Amino acid sequence: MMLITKERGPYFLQNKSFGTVTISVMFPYKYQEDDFMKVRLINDVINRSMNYQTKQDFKNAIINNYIISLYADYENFENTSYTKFILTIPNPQKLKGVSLDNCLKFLADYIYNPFIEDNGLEKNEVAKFIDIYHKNIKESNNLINKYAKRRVFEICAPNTKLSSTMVSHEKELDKITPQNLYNFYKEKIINGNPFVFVMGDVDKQEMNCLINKYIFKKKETTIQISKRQNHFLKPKEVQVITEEKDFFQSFITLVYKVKDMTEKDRYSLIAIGLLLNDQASHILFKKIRLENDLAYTTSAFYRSYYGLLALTALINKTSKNKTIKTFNKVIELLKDENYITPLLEKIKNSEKINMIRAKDNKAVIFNNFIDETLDFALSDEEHYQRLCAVTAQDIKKLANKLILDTQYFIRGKKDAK
Amino acid sequence: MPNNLTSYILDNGLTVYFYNDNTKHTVHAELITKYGGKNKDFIFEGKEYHTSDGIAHLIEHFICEHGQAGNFISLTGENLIYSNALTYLNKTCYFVDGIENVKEALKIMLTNIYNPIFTDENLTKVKHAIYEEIRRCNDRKFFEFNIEFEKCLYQKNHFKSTIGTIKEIENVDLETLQTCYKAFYQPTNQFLIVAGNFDKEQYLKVIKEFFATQKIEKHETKMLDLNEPVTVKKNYFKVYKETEDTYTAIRYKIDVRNLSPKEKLDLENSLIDYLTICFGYGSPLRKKLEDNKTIIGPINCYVNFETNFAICGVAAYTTDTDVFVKEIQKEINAKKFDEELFNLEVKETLTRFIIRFDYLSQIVSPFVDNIVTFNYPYLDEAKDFDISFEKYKNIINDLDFSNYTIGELIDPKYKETSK
Repeated sequence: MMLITKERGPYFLQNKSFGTVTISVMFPYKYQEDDFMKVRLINDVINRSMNYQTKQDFKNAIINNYIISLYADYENFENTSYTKFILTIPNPQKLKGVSLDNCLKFLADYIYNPFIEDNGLEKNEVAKFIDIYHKNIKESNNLINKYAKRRVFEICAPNTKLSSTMVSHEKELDKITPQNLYNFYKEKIINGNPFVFVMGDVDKQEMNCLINKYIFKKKETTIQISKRQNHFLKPKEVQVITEEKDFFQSFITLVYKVKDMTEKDRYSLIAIGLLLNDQASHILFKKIRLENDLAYTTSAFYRSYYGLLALTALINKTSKNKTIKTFNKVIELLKDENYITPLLEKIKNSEKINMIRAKDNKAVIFNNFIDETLDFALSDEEHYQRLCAVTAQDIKKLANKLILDTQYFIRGKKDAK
Repeated sequence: MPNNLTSYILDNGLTVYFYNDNTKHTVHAELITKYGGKNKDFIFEGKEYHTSDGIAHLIEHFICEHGQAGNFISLTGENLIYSNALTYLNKTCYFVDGIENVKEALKIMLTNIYNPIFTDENLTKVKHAIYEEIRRCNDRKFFEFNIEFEKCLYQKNHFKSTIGTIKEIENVDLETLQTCYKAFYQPTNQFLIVAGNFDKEQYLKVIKEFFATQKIEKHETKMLDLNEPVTVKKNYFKVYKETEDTYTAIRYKIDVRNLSPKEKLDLENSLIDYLTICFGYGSPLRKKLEDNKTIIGPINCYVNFETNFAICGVAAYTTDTDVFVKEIQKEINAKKFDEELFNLEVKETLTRFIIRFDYLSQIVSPFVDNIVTFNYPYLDEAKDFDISFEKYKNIINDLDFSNYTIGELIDPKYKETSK
């Protein structure tokens, strides 16, 4: 496991374009498979601090402090998990009555002083959400898209993080108690050391003081986290798998892995994904739907750090063979440099446009800022430059390295009238 | 109107709205036709029509895929524009959204909207894609459930779904399609909104120049009032579909035909606050039902307006439908008023007004709904939110919650044993 060291912040992204200030407090800790469910449950179970006996009281305090939203979320990145708390408030300069001090204090209270009883998180909430999780897992089998994607990763990427899902971890739910969940929370969050990110039109000095006063509890200003790594999957002998399920639609996918994949190939794979999906080129949509009427929905998904590409479509059960033939033709088209060259230029321009468009989306701006700071991803500009360096020859080279790994078909048994 | 919202009425009757926000980088142009899945009964050129489900959606596909310019979504996509079309109950929307080439994309979109190529060959192609879309809808958990609600809430309106069934779509002929198109795709029944960072004069010029080249036939169309009563057809139904827990919903039918547009808007705002106070996060009733395990998860509430009715829904996953229904009915009819809670809801609403301007979609979408649903062509602004506690009480006190339908979504394993 490769680690990097980062300053905990606070990191500021000055932005006067929006009417809000967003603060993200992210607690990193070592990822462990056994904690999969706990990481998710704590976000749902914790709903207020000890200062509020009822949810109504807490909700009233949220409104009285002009808080637009406060919620917990999680992220896993390589071998580091993150529990994050995101607070959004109106820009204090645009709305009288908004007090940064009160809001940061409220946030800290929520994080460090969660509502507990009998040395554990709220019993009823823990039981409720464990029950909901069990049911959501069962229900996910009734949603063709969710079910299909999960199965693809189970078949093509077993024993990787791609196939580590709610379904594969369901048994852990029954070992969770309000006490061991609270102990987990104490260890990782209350005794943790977070990164802090702030976006908005704020006085840095003021925010710095408040964050040091309320959010940072430890002296250490640097934190070790996982560094991005490649996990290229090796192609194996082709598997052909068919299942019959109670759906109206049917699902077909051809999954490819890249032979002898290298870091340089990653951006060629990303470019292929864009060529297949992006509206500027839309190869899959054109071939599957417009020219051959085979599906309403078709798309490609890829995992560049794993060297995996899947072409998918939701089809009528009678269109399976024709769809597979068309998928094969699409892969062959990727090897045609004359065909690909103009489309490649289009998707590069499309990415450039997307970068400009993203400036209107504060969620994207903030997430990109965090990703860049923690080295989860390249900056928009670096990403764009690497994409621009990809040529039609690179696409052809990678297409020639694509090895069919799995053909997976879900035959829907039901007939719509 | 606020300073950055202006409107023009063209010679052909089309109203064009411009909303300038030069802090944004994109331009969004959307044409809305006041014709959706539920607009099935009308008089056109003196003749009465009652169409099947799915027509408005079929026309939308035709316009996107088989207009004079070709497939407008693909074409504009190739020019780095994001475009799409959507059919709702009471409107169909076509839009283009981008940074560059937006005027050209708008022209392409308008070309297709006003020049669809109705041929049998194109109709066959469009139908194929829609059959797959119907299968997709049938896989959705609440699709059949919502259809049953439509059948039970209404006595005279025979609408079931915007997309229709495979059989209905198979039976649609070109003549019906063309009739509906001519009836509703009239500039006087449409409006165009352009929002974002753009030069208003340039866009007005492009739009006027486009329509100068179009010969759009004028027709007389009138929606039929079926005299739908406020009473429901059936008070209860159940649907069997795979579900871990039973889902119970109560939908109330409220007569609003005598309300003015502003009164309907005030009713919508008041009803949303009332439902949140009664059933929302932290409410005493929700806590009670969670603690005694009558419900699993939240209570979902919504309010939808149609021409003559408001439909107000309360729903949850339940372990005991009878107890759930009894408690909801008791609470909604109690009409208890707490001024402190009301003021908190108002405060929250006003706080959220500030952040609406951060996203164009949060300006455009409610504005479109104000026009189509309420015939109220104004942007929502905090200063216009003038509901006092007294006014709120009067509005809620005037509401009649006695017309409703209860629906249950039950797992098929309980088919033998359920009441």
